[in-house]
Amino acid sequence: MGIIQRLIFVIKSFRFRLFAIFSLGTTLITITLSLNYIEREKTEFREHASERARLLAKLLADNARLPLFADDRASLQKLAEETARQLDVVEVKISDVNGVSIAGIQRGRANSSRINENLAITSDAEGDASTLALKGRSTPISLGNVLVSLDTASLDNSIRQMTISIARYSCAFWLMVTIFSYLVLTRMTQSYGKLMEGLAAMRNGNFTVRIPIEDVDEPSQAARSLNDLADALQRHEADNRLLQEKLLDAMRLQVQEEKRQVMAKLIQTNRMTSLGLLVSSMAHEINNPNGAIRLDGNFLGKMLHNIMPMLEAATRKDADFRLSGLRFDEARDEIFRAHENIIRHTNRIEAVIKDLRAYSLGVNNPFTLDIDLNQVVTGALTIIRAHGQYTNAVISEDLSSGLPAIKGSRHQLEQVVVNLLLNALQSLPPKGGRAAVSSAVSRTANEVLVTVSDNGEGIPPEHIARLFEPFFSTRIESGGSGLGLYISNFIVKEHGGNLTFESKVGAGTTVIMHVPISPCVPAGHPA
Amino acid sequence: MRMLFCVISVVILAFPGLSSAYDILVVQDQRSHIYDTLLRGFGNGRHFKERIIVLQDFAENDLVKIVREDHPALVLAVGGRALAETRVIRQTPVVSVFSYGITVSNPPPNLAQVKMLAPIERFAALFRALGAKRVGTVLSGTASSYAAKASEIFRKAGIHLVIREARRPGDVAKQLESLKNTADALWLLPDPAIVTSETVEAFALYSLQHHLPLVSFSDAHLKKGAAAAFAIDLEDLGKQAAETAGRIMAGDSPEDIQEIPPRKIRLRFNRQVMEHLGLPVNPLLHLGGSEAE
Repeated sequence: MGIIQRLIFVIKSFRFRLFAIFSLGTTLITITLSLNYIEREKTEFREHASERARLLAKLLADNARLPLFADDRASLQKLAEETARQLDVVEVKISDVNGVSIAGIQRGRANSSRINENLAITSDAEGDASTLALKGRSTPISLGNVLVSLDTASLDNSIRQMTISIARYSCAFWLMVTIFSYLVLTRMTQSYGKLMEGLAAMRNGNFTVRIPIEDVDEPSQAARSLNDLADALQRHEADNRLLQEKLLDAMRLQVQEEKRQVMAKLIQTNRMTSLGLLVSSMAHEINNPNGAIRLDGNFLGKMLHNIMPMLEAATRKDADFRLSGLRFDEARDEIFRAHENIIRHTNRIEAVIKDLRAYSLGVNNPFTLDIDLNQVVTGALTIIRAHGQYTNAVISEDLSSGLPAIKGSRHQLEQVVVNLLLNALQSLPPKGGRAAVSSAVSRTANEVLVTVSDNGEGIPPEHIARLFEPFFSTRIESGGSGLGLYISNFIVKEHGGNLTFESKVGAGTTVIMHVPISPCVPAGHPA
Repeated sequence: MRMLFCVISVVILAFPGLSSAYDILVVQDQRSHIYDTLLRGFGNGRHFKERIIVLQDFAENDLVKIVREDHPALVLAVGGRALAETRVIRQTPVVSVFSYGITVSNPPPNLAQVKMLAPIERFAALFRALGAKRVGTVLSGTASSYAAKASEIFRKAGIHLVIREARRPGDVAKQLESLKNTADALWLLPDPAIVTSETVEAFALYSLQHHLPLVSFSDAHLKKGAAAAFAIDLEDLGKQAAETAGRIMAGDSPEDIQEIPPRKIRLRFNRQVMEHLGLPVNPLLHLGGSEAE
């Protein structure tokens, strides 16, 4: 703050204005009183000088009465000289009844400013003729006259000195009153100043400041209220700080939780990656013996076809011909059925390994126009059943025949159905439950529907909107990644379709995958 | 006082010849030309050996001791204070002069007085010349015999003397006021009990205010407002004192002499005062009066 701003601030302050009003009032009062006093003193000075001249003349007349009566001129001259010795007396004259000067003295300039007092001397000093007549006295004898002249130069000087003295005293009085006013004002506005200091500190955000209360005046009461307000604000600030700390702690915990979840997802992802590698390795290790079994099975089939005529011939020869305790006709059927089982299961093993490998590696996902969703569902069921973890659950399937083909990636769609089935199975109680998968076509909507339903725990309404959020899962602890539905939704969206949910807590969930039908391409025909 | 006594004693002892070097011890009130004039008349034609003690020069005096040691033939008391101081002297004759007292109460036998006051008959003639039928005065109780004597003489002259008694000077003004409308003139007598300068002024003021002529015992009062007074020839008064001293030293007893009236008396009047009061001066001129200078 510059000097000018500080000066303006001081001038506009409450204390300065009061002080200015006091000082101005004191100045006006002092000047008024001083001028009045000076004027009155001047009048009194002049009256006093006139009175003094009158008294001197009266005294001289009284003293000169007898000498004038007795014509004692020496005494008269002595009286005149004594009177002339008085201050400011410049002329004294005593004259007889004929006006002839008998005694007198004159000093100073004749043309100087004077106050003249003429007084007649009579035989009776107590009054005029009428007064004396009332008192029963005879008419006084006129003896003469006295004249006393006073020079007013010293009077003017005295008035000037008096004016200067009054001006000095007035200045001193004004100064004392001003200082006293300042001290009193400072004392009286002390609480006001402390209030303003406290307010300034609070305005700068410092609510720890408390305004000292030393009085019971209005500023002190305001200061008390402000202190209470500051207490409340400080408490609120402390509460806010505490809340912020709690919020930060909560956020920190949430971040830590999210971090932990992300790490769990990463671990899961890593685990899935490892699982993919494991699956690839297992495919290799399983396919080799499986291939050998299938080759041997084929070889055994050929061998059976070759030896079967011989065995029929032997049976014909021997009616009791038996193989492993069975009659030949029973044993022949069992042998061919075992051979078919070997071939079929080795093919199945190969198919499972192939699907697992494709699922885990995510390869070979080109979009084609001939995707049959029933095959997709069958593939997904194969994978789920190969999983072997949900043996207590009953999975029913109801696939509609004659589904139109759609455009898409079989493996990606299988991944979607697998995810939906896994979610359905995971929602079932551990003792078992029921899941169902079905397919259908909606000609009106021109789309193919795959419905996965369960009678599991259901989804709370507040989770419905968050189902497609990445990493949102209620089963993180049990191995859920929170990415299943996110990825599934992504895949279905890529196929131009969408997923819809219907769920009731405690009753189960139904998920429907909507995929548009490919134009003019029947199912089972490549595009 | 002890220091003064010691000084005087030492001086006397140091100069033993003084104790028998003079005949008359002169004790005077103060130094002034009036006393000088009077003493000049006292020493004129006679050759007394004198020793002069001026009371004004000393705070206190032991005149008795001085007289006892010096053995003067006579003590001359000049002035009222000197008369009072010498009253303690009993063995040596004392001649008093220039004392204004009307009378000395119980005068000692060794005292002879040369009076200054004019005879009462002269005053009566003066008041008659002024046309006064009633004369007012204020006296103390000590002057009762003189008042009685004056009343008798005035009565014979056809004048009624109105006397008011005052115990002290402060009472004079009040007593003068009581003379209102009872007197045609005022008479100021040398009564030591009440006469002071203030008393003289009071008489003069009363005279002025009530237009009454004031006749005083001293011509010195003519300048104070008195209309007329009898002046004494001081030199001749000194001669009278010398003659009295000579008689005593020649063998007369002071008791036989007692009071000697002044020999040369002149009537003086203040023309200005007479004119202010509207009184003619011719009657006074016929009495041999003269205008005061």
